[in-house]
Amino acid sequence: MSYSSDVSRGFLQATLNAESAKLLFGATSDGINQYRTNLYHHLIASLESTYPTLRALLAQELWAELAREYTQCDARSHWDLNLYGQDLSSFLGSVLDPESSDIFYDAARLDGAVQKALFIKTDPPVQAQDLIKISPDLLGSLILTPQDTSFLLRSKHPIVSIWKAVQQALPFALTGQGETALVSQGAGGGLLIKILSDCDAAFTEHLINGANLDEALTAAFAINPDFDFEKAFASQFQSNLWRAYQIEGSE
Amino acid sequence: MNPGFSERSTSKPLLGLGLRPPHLQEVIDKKPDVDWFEVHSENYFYGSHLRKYLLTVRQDYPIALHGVSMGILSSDGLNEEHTRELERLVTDLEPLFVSEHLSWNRFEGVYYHDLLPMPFCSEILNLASSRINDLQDRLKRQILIENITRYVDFSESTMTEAEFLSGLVKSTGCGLILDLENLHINDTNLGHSASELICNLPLNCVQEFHVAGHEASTAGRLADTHDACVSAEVWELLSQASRRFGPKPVLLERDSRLPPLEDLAREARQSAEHLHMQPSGRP
Repeated sequence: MSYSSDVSRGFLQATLNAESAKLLFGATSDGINQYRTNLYHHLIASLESTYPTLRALLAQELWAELAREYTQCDARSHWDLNLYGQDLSSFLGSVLDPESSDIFYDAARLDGAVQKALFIKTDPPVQAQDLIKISPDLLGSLILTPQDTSFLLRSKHPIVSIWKAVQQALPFALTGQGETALVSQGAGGGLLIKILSDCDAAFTEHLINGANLDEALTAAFAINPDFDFEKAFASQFQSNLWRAYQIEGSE
Repeated sequence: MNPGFSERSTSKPLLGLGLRPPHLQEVIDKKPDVDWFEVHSENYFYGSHLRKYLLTVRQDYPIALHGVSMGILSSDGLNEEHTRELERLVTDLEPLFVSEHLSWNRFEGVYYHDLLPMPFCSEILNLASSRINDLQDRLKRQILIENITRYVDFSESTMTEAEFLSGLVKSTGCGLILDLENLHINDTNLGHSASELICNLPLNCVQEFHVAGHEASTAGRLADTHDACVSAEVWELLSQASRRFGPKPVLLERDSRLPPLEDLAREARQSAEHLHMQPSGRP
């Protein structure tokens, strides 16, 4: 065990125990409180910045309780505060009933996906022209692999409209038609967020979940026989949605 | 040098401002009257959407990269992914300075998101020297190390902060950011004389000064919040330090309760009133 390990362990014990603090820091041991305050403050500030929509939807007391409990349970395994709290939506179950609170889950998942699209690195995208080399009779077996930032959310609530209103500090209505959000990171690193039609949502969702192109098209045409497949497919490539492709059954 | 960088962006700067994400677009649009900017490196790693804005700002201003999450004194060692991202950013930006704090933030795989202190002793000096040498080798350039705010004193310390920093400069060739706000806080909270530290550092080691504002508790303790204007005491320390070390680039840091950009630029320019252009070698 190295000397710096011993010091680190002692320091962390001292943040929890006044006697340990006195041993390690003597007359200045009261100062350890500032480190406790700082740590909590930085984590809370990070959650507030990542989850503006969830925060706007929850009562202040409930948000504060959620954030406090989350910071106490999370393992903090990444150095980047921009990516802190990525699993907050799954943690919500400890403070909210999932059945009656789905709008909060949707808000948390959308906020988390947006933050990811704003900060994580994506692979070089598959371009539409990359597919030209595929023989037309094999295209139906095409399978696409999404970027880590590609995220589709089906909501019973107008979740994208609420998100946009919160971004612009405008009032928003909780009721309204449900929306399906598609979040991705644009080629230049910017955020792309769209509301998909039902058939486009079915088409995109099938592809994101690993279905082949034939299966995705079947699902979309079942909803709308006039579905403009070419336009929807081109839009996916413009949105930097895919990082790899393969033909099903081939190596 | 990148041919896309303007003459101004490569000039010798003095009055600088900490550039935070909410002001990026405004800086591009209005080009405020400051000489240079410093940014927190980590906000521009990976696929950060902010990177393209920073590259645009870089065309017109020198940019310094200031790390807040590397934790060079962490017993777990340097994070390879973090170092690689910093290396990439340094290549893209050709920064004026690259700096890190003399602190740790990780233990047994868990991150503590703060600038945590270590004792001033030979074991930690050896550790710091080794990590800084590794980092300088990786980046192929000198890095600057900043003195941190300390809210406790380790009973295990066997040297003063000035002795520790001097040893670090000697063993690694790194430079120092002298954060005058941190010195003032340590002076007030722990009784470590800021003036004495300024006197006891070698003359050629300081490359940059930091100034910022703090929050005071009713008990008179100060917290390094970077959310207020620079205090008279800190401006006075800047005068003392520039008398000793010369007119080094000064950086105004503001991280929360951000005022309008124009006000921040004005406060940054105020540094000029406290800089002595002819160093005397004495504070």
